[in-house]
Amino acid sequence: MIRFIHLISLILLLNISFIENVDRNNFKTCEQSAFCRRQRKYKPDTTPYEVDLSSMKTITNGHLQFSLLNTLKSHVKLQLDLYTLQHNSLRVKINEINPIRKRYEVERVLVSEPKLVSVNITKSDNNQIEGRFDKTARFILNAKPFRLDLFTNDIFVMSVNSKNMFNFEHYRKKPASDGAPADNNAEDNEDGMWEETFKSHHDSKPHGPSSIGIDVNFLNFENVYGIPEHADAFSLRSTHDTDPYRLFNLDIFEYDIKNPMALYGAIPYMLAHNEHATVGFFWLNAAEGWIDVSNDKLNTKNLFSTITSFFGTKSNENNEVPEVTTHWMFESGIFDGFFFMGPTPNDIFKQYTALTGATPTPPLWSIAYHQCRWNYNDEDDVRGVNNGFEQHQIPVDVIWLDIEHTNGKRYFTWDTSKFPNPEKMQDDLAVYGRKMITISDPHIKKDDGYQVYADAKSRGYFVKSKDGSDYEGWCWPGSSMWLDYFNPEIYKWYSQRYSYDNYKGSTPNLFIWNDMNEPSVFNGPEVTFPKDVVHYGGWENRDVHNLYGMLQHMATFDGLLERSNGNIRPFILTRSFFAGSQRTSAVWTGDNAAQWSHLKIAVPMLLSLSVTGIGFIGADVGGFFFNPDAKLLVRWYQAAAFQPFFREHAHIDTARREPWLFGDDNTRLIRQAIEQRYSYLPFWYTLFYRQEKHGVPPMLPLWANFPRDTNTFKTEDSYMVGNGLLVYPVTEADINQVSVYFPGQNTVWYDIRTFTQHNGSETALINVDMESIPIYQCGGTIIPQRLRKRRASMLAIHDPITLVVALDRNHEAEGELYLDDGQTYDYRQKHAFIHRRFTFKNNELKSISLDSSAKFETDAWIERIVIVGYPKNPSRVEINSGDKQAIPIHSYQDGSQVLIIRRPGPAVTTDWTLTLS
Amino acid sequence: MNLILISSLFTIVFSGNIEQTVLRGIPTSLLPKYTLAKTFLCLDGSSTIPFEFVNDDYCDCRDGSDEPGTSACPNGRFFCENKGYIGTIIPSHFVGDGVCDCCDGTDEYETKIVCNNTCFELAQKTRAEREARRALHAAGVAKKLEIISKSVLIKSDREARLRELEEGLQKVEDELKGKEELKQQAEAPENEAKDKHQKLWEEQRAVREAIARDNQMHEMFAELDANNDSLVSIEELQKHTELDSDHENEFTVEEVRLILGADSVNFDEFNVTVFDQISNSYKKLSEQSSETPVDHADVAATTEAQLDQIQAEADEETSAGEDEYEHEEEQQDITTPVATSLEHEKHIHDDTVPEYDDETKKLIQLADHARNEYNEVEGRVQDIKRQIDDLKRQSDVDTGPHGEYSAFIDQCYDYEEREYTYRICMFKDAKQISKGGGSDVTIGYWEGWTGPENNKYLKMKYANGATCWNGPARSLTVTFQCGTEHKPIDVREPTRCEYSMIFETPSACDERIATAAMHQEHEEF
Repeated sequence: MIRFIHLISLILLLNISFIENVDRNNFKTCEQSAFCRRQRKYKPDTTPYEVDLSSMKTITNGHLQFSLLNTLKSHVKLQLDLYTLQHNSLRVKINEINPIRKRYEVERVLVSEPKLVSVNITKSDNNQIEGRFDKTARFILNAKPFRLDLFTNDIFVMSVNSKNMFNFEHYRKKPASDGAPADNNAEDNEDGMWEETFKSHHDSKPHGPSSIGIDVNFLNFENVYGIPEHADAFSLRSTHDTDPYRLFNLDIFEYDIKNPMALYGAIPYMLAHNEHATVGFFWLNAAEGWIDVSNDKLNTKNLFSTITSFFGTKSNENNEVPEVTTHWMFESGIFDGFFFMGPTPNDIFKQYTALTGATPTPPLWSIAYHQCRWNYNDEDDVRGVNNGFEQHQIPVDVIWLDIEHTNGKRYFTWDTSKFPNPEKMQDDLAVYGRKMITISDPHIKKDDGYQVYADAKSRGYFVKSKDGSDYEGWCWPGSSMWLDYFNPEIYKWYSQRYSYDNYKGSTPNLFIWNDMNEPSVFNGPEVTFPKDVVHYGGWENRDVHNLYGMLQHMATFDGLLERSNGNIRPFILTRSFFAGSQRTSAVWTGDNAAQWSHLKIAVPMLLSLSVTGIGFIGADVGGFFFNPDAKLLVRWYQAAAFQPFFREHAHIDTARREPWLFGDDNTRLIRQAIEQRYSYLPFWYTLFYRQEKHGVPPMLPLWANFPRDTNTFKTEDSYMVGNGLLVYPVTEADINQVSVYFPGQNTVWYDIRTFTQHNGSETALINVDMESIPIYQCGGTIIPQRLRKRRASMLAIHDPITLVVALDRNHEAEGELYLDDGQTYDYRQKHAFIHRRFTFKNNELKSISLDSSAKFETDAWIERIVIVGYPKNPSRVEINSGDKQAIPIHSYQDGSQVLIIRRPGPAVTTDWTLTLS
Repeated sequence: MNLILISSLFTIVFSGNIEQTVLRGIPTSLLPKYTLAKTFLCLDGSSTIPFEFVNDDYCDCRDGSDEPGTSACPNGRFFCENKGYIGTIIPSHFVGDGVCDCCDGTDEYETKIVCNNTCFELAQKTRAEREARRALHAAGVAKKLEIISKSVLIKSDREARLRELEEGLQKVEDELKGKEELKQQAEAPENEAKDKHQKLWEEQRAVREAIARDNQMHEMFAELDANNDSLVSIEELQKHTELDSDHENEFTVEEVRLILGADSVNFDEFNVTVFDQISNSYKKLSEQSSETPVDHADVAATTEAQLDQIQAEADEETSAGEDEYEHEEEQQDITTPVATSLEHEKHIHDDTVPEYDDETKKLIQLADHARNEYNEVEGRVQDIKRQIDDLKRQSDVDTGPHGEYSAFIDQCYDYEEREYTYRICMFKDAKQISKGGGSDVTIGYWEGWTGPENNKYLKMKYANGATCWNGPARSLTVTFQCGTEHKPIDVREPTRCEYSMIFETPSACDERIATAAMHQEHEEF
């Protein structure tokens, strides 16, 4: 019978995945994008590129410079800069020497100029330079042919141009109109080099071809990850039979899943992981990009004969090792590649965020539950929704307003007939510790009576068409224009729109949502800017496209920061993003659908974002388009309660779906899921703080914690929250059993509800009903929780803490707790926080401070300690803090091996030791 | 006992005497269950705990009953005493959360925030509100009773009227039968006389037509027979090029022979085979010569040339950037010939039927009279039937158990909003009327009462309105509340295309509220 049910659900699932939503004809294929077409077919037997080693210059220690020549085009001279960076990272830049037009180099992404470390040249002959730097990194630059090989701990991990696909299109003069090529080279006048048309849109390409292609290959790896945003698998799939993965920020209406089409954001960063190492490659480029991925075998017999025993494993009897080859193609800019040599997952997170920044600890309320809808219609509606949460005793922290709250989609205004007193509305929410978020999109309605437009127009602040006039397109308000945030003056001016003076009706309890910032232009090519619109500095959108959305949300962040004089942490949600977005904004996966397949794909989509630095992420609960049935909605709440950003959102055409509209049973299930989220907020908050400090995102693939467990490398049906919780969301309609893989040899896992134990390296069939959220705490971890209920997270800041100590096989465990005021920068400026480490070892649980200078006033205390996996009922439990001592009451359950210490009582600010005997 | 005291070492020690602390948040009615003793039995009976565990800020009972006065249990219940007002129960997780939930502020005893005691003001306000509400319901109920009594009257009136009408109907239907017989009797001789008259006239007309044809034929034959040999030959007919059916080329001998069926025909043959072929096209030679001779080819050429020119001008105009479809429209205007008059399309018969003879006229007069009398009675039958239908429809409408909502019958009410007027016609339909012009949108047709089981007449629904783009059919739910007049006071669209209206009416006022509230007051304050 179970088998039968599985079969039916499989059939249903297949049916759903056949639903075609998006109109693919509106978006380019590689074949329709001229540079991709040219680069993808570029496959020479040998590379024409050579490094001139004799040209080597040491600019500073850690920065070497070479000439790179195309032997087929001697007049084209390239320069290769090699920088050895701290954190086991290498940067390689390739640019034209004296190009006829300067090539764009991406700004605003790196937190600062990367710090160089000295390089130790260990070998230098007429064809190779070998250097070692930092902890475990080594490179070999091969001159003829041009190739770069990279090693970590002397394990060969990456190779650049080993497939000869490096192809640099230099800027050139346009061929004369009679067709005779200016450079005497037929290929300079290929179709699509000087103009191209897609549907009715003409791209004038005034500067001609400028794309760059390169192959980066991961040796002895079988899995690569990252390069979001795609609604696809976590372990990237081979693009043999599909288009390459595309990176080009677009507003895709009703996107489909399981394909390499571009979505709202782009991060040109890929990771590879195997049981020996985790490595990464980041190409800092904001133009349109395409990436082919292929799972190959590499024959090691004749290749790399100079290098021996470099894989850490032996190749098979055919002298083959697996290899993931990737082919990267960008339309313009320079080659600016960063290679991260790990070798551990945590090293990789650190290395990438050292460059592009980490997500700062968000305000506590922003990691709680958000209630959104397009649209809450007026002040009464907002009040009614707030009362609904009160009445049904469901916690909520934020209520959101979508575009209809404005006066005709003029952002920074209110529809005063519906929102006559927005300050009062926000104050009323604030009574309950709740916030409000309003939307602010980048399109500015063309209307002389609209102050924002009129000012920007008169100052010349809008993005320009290729002919120099203000570019005009269509979006929600009708005819609109777009601010050119690339200009620092405009960026600043935009950020000032968020001051209390300029944004009338905003209060300190109001935060911001930036949507449609790819940007979405309803009548533009592929629903965005034409590539030949011009930005500040004369750069075409072609050069900078993928940065646009990030600049908007960065400016918004600055505005909110400024309005509180730098004291209150801003919160921004953005749909479009680029590398670095994590520093100022949370991201959601855009306009998904109320389908089981979309609930399921949220996990791999969020993991892909997580590992590429974007850690504060979520998917719309329930699905944005269409109406979820109660079952799907409940399951979505259960899943999202254990994902970083937790927001319900729905399209204007859908039925209302506030948590209490689906009958008492479902209201109860949704309430339970939200309450569970709130109970784990101290843990989440600690993880977010850890992200700020170490770059480790709160939501992780299993391999981040179990890097040697090969069974986890493709896992995307479950994930970790920190190192403590394994989450397996139920994402199918009618199942009563799920098959959960528990990673880690000698690891023990505890069901968080029943404390039932499961062994690592084993798969277990778990029975599920509608109450179940299969979640397991990892043996060896200590998780802080707040088991008291509150109507909003900010009201619980001083509530007592429960520690759940899950023992490993050696009866040991450790964990951390981070606490602060939840919303200001006092934690940075005044060290007003608490950061403690708990360790359980030798029957002793200790709490020590991780930062003795930190000081945060709070009444919070330890109200309960639950020790799971403790083998016997202790005869005595004693707690000591300074010269105080107590013997708290305890209870013990033999079957589940759970020891509960009642009311041990120490303040969380103090050091203490609990002793069992 | 010793253990517990030690275990409390690190916790905050609250000020105040034990009784206040321990018994905090417990409603008076439950106090007997919390009497100081060694142990406490959780109210759900699930376990027994030391009495010291009650309100010690740690949750021991599954039902939260050991911590009514703290926030330790997620499911506990805190009693606000609210002196001067009504005691209320709030969730115990509201205790100490920084939000003043009790009007006496007792839920925030442990937090720094200051809750003003608002119980007195609240009591006053509540009393005033309650009095206002009572007064409203009282006023409303008075009107409602009027409606009900009127409804009873209307109902009995309606029933009496119905009986009356049904009796009347019987009589009129009998009368109609008599009139029908009379009508038939008068129509029989009338029809006979009319038929006879028609037949006679048709015969006369046939004769007239035969003579006319004969005259025309003789004239034509004589004209054609130019050489007066009593034969019409090919050469003679060939001169009449207007008879050439294809106009394109010459009127050839073969074509002429085809018409004649021989080289020449005599009068009888002409009569039988030729005349009917050519009579419509035939023109006298003299008539032909008086017309300006025009070459067909020239006509065509000129017209085309003119068209081309007009076309070119039109092209010039439209190429200035107008849309293509406008261009096409203009083309059409030019090429479609426009009639200047419709007169020539009309076929006027001058041979109308002659007047009836006097006898027939008399018969018709009699029949007309019978018919008129019949129609008049039939009209009365229809009228009565319609009245009966209307009354039946009215009595079928569910206007509440006592006819509270009977005043709505056949009434429409408007709600004015910024962009739209919402018009609800009770028990019929609801419309959204745009103020900026544009057609009305039906947002639903009467479906029924949809209030909850115990209050069915609280809400009514209008469903299956115009379908939304990309959405469902529109619908409207009306929720009634007590008011002294019938009027909609709010319309919203909480979910796309699902409208909701709040409607004030005396019909929704409640006798219990109107009367009972007076007594409650003293008990509660």
